[in-house]
Amino acid sequence: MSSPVLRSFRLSLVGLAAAAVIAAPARADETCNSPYMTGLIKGQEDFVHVWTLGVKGLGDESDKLVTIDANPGSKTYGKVVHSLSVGGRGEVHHMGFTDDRKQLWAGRLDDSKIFVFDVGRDPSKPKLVRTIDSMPAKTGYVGPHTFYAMPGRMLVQGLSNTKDHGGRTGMAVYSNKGDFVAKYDMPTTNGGDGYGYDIAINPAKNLMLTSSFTGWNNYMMDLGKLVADPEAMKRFGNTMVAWDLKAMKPRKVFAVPGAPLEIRWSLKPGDNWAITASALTSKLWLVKQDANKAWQAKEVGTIGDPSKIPLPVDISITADGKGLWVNTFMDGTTRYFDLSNPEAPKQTYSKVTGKQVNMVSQSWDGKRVYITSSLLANWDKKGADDEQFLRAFAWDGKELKPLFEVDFTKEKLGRAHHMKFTAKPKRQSALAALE
Amino acid sequence: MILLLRPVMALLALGSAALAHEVPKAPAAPPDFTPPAAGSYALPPIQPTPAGTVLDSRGRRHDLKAFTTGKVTLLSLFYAQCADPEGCPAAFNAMIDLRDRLAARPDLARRVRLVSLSFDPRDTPELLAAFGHHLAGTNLPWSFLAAASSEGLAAMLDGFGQDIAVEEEGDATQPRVISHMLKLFLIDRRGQVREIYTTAFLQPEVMYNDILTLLIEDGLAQR
Amino acid sequence: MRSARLGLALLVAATTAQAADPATLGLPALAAPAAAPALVELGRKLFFDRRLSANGTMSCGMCHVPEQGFASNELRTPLGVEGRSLRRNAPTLLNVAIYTSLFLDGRAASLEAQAWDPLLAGNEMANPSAEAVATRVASLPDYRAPFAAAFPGAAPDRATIGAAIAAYERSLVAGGSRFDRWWFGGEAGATTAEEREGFALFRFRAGCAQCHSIGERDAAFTDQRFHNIGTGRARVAAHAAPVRVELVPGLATNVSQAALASFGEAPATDDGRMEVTGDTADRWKYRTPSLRNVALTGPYMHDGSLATLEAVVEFYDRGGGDDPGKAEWLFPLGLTPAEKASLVAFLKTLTGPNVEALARDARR
Repeated sequence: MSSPVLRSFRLSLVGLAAAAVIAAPARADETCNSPYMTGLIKGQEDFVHVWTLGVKGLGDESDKLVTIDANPGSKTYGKVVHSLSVGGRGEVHHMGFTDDRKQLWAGRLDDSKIFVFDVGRDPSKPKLVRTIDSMPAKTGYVGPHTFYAMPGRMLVQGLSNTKDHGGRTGMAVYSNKGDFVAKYDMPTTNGGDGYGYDIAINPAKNLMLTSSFTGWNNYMMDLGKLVADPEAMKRFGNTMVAWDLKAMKPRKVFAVPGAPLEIRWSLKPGDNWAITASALTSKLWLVKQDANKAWQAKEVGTIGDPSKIPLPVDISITADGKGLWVNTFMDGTTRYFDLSNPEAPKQTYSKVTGKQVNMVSQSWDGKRVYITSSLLANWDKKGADDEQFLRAFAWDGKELKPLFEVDFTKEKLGRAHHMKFTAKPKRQSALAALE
Repeated sequence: MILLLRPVMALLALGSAALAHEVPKAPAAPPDFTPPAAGSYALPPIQPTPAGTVLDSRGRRHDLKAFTTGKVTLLSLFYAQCADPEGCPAAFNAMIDLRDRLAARPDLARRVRLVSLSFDPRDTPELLAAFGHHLAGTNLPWSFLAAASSEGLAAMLDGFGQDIAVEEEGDATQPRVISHMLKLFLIDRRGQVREIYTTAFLQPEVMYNDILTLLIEDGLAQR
Repeated sequence: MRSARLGLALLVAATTAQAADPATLGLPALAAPAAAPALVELGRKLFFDRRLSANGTMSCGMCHVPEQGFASNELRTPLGVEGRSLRRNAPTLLNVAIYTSLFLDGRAASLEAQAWDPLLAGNEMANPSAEAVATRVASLPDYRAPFAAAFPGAAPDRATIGAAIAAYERSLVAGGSRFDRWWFGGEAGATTAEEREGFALFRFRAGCAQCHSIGERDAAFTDQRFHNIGTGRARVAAHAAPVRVELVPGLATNVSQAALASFGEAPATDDGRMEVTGDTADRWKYRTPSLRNVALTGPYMHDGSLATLEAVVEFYDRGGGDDPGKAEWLFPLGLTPAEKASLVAFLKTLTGPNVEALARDARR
C-alpha cells in the first residue's frame, strides 16, 4: 500500500477511497456534506464561499456569492477575492455541492430561486451556470433550504408552500443538469406535521432523517413581531422523520418539540447515531437504534439557559464524532460540547464570538472554525447589534484564537450566511492528452 | 507490451475468482438493513441516456442506443488501467454479483444486460475483448464498449454527468491516472436513467431489487 | 368604450337568479348582479397568481387563504413581499360583496378600487404601478384565452383587472348557514336550544346585534359603521409590556420590550378610521365586520389579538378594551359561563355549508 503508484491513486481518486462502504463514509462542513459527495478536503481549504444576503442601501444591494481566500500561504489570505452578484434579494440561505463537488447549488428562501455555481474549474472565481426557478410551479413547495447531493442528482428540502406560505412542504429532486425529477411531501399522518428543514442520510442503514422548522410566514416575519404573535409561534415543527431512503417513504415520526434544525450523523466508522439541536427549546437530541434495533430520538442535553431563548442555530460535528460546535444566535456564543458519550453531551468551552452568530463550519482536521453572523434578513438584530461578518478562528482544543475577519458591512457585501469550502484543483488535462 | 500488461493487472485486482466466472472472493457485505421489496417503490426517471457512437470489442460501430434500450441495462463507465480496488474493480465486483444472481433467473436474465463503457482512449477493442472473455459469457449479455471518437466520448460523458480528468501528478513511469467519480447507471427499456450508484454505496441486493422493480413496472416480472 | 364593454360583460350574467341559490339564504340582496362565469374565472386566476407581485412570491390568495376561511388563521397580521409587516388582520373575503366600504378603515368604496391597494402597496405585493401589472399580465401567454373570454377585444388594464378580481371576490357568497335555515328558512331543527339561547343573548342582553345587524328578512351582521371598542388603545398598551412567548406547548418565557427592540422593528401606529377622515374622533374606530363564517376566520379583531371566539366573548363581557374613549354602549355584561358558551355556540351556527366547496373551487 505504500508504493508510489498506489499513493498516486489515493491522491488522485480523492474521496473514492474515503467514501468506501468499509472505510469511513465521507461525510464531510467539511464535516457536514452529503456522504455521496466526493473530494473531501482533508487538508487546508483554499477558499471559503459565503452565500450573502443583499441589503438595501449597501453596495449593489444584491444577493451574492462571496469568495474569501482561506489559505494562510496565500498573498490574499483573509481577503475577499471574488464577489458574484446574482441579482435581487430573495432570502439567501444554504448551499450544497453536487456529488462530484464540481457545482455548488445555493438557494433563496423567499423567491425560491436556486443558483448553480461552477466551482470545479476555478474555485477562486465561481461562475453562475444555471438558475432554477421552477420549484414552486413544479412542486408547490417554497423555500429551497437544504441541498443534499445524491448520485447524479440533488435532493432539495423545501420549507413552505405556494398555497398558504405555512409549514406544509416537501422535498424535490433535481438532476445535476437542473431538470425536475420528483417530489415527496413531508408526512402529515402518523404524527407527521408536514414541516421540513434539514436532510441527513446514512446510506449504510438506508435511512434518511429530516427535521422541521417553519413556513415562509414565520421565517420571513420580523422576529419581534413573530415572538409577540402566539398564533404564529404555534407554527413550528415539532418532529423528525426517519425515511426509507430507497423507497423515499416515511417510516417513523419522532416527537422532537421546538424546531429541530441541522442534523449531523457521526462520521466515526461504525457509529450509527445522529445529533440535532432544537432551536426553540435549546436541547440536544440523539437519534439512534435502541436495543431492539428500533430508531428512537431522545433528549440528551441542554444548550445554555432555555428560558433566555439562546436560539441554537447551527451545529458542526467533528470528524471523529467526539465533539460538537453549537452556535447560539441571541447571545452570540460559540459553544463546544464533548460528545465522547453522545448520550450525555457536556459543554466544555464557550466564547462570545459576535453580537449575533449563526453558521459554524470547521475544517476536517478540526483546527479551523469559521463563523458567520446572519440568521435571516428579518430575524437579524437591529442597530449596532447587527454585525455582519465572517470570522475565522484557530482551535487547539482549548481556545478559539482569531485568525482573520471580514466585515461584510464595511466591505459593502451584505449579510453573511452559509459557508462552503473549496480547494484548488490539482493540475489536470483533458482525456485527449492520453491519445 | 505495457498496454496489454496493465489491464491484466486490473483484472487481477478483481481477484482470481472473477477470472473463473465464480463469485468473487470478497463479495459485498449484505446491507445492514432490509431493503424495500422490489416493486414496492418507484424509481423516477433522472435523465435520458445520451446519444453516441460506440465500438464493440470486435471494433464494429454501433449506436449507443442499441445498448441502452430494449432491455433493463446496468451500465458502468470504466477504464482498463484503473486498479484502485475501490474504483472500477469495485464496480466490476458488483456487476459480477448481479450477473450471477440473474444467471439463476433465466426468465429475468433475458430482459437485462450489463454494459461496461470505457472512457479511456487507450482501451482498444482487443483489450475490451479480453475483459469480455473473462467476465461475460453467461446467459446475461455483457458488452464491453469504447467511444468511436473523442468528441463523441466527451458528449457521452457530459450526457451521463460523469466528470473525469487526467491527473498530471505522479510517477512519469507509471500509467496516467484518470480521476473520476465512479458511477453505475441503471437504465430502463426506454433509455431513461432510473438510478445511479456510486462506488461508495454499491449494494448488489438493492441493485437487484431495482432491476426487478423496473421489470415489474413493465409487466415483465412478478412482485 | 371600455366601460361599455365592461358593462356588457356584467350584464351577461345578470339573468342568473340569485334567490334560488341556497348559499344566499339570509344574505342581503347584493347591489351588483352576479358576474359572467368567464369574468369570475379570470378573476380567480388573477387572485391566486403569485406572478402578480413584484418578486413573484405573493398573490391575493396568500393572505386570503381558501382553506383558512379566505383569511389567515396562522398569524395575527400577515406579511407582504420580503416579509414586510402589515398592521391589520387579514379579513375573510367570504360575503365581502355585502360591504358598502372596504378595508377596516373604509378607505375604498368598491371592490374594484380595493383590489389595487394591496397590488400596489409597498409592504404587500409591491408592484410599481397598475400599468406594470397590466403589462405583466399581457405578457403571460396563459392569460390570452381567459382574458379574451372575459373581455372580448379589451386589454389588461386597471379597469379590467380590477373588475375581474372584484367579480371573483363577489362570487364568494356563503350564506345559508344553520342559523339562516332556522331563522329565515323556518327550519326548526336546524339549531339547538343552546344556540338559540345564544342568539337571544346576541340580540338583546349582550347587545351584539346593535352593530352586527340583523334585518327582517336577512342579516348582514354588520351595520357598515365604524366603532372604537378599545382594541386600538389596547394594542398600543401591549407594546409597552413584556411579551409572554410560548415556545412549545407548555413551555413559555417572558421577553422584555428592550430585548424585543434589539431584534424586532418598532410596531407601526394604526389610527383606524382617523387615517381616512383626519378626524381625531375617529381614532381607533374600525368598521364592524360581518360575523358570517366567523368560526372559520380567526384570529379576531383588527389586529388579530384574540385567538378564539371564547376570547372575543370574554372581551365583550369585560365591556371591551381599556380605553376611556371607546363607544359608550360598551359595558361589562356579567354573563355566566353557560351564557358565554351559548353565545359562542350561536356564533358557530353562522358557517355557510358551501365554504369547503368554494375552497375546492378556488384551487381548481
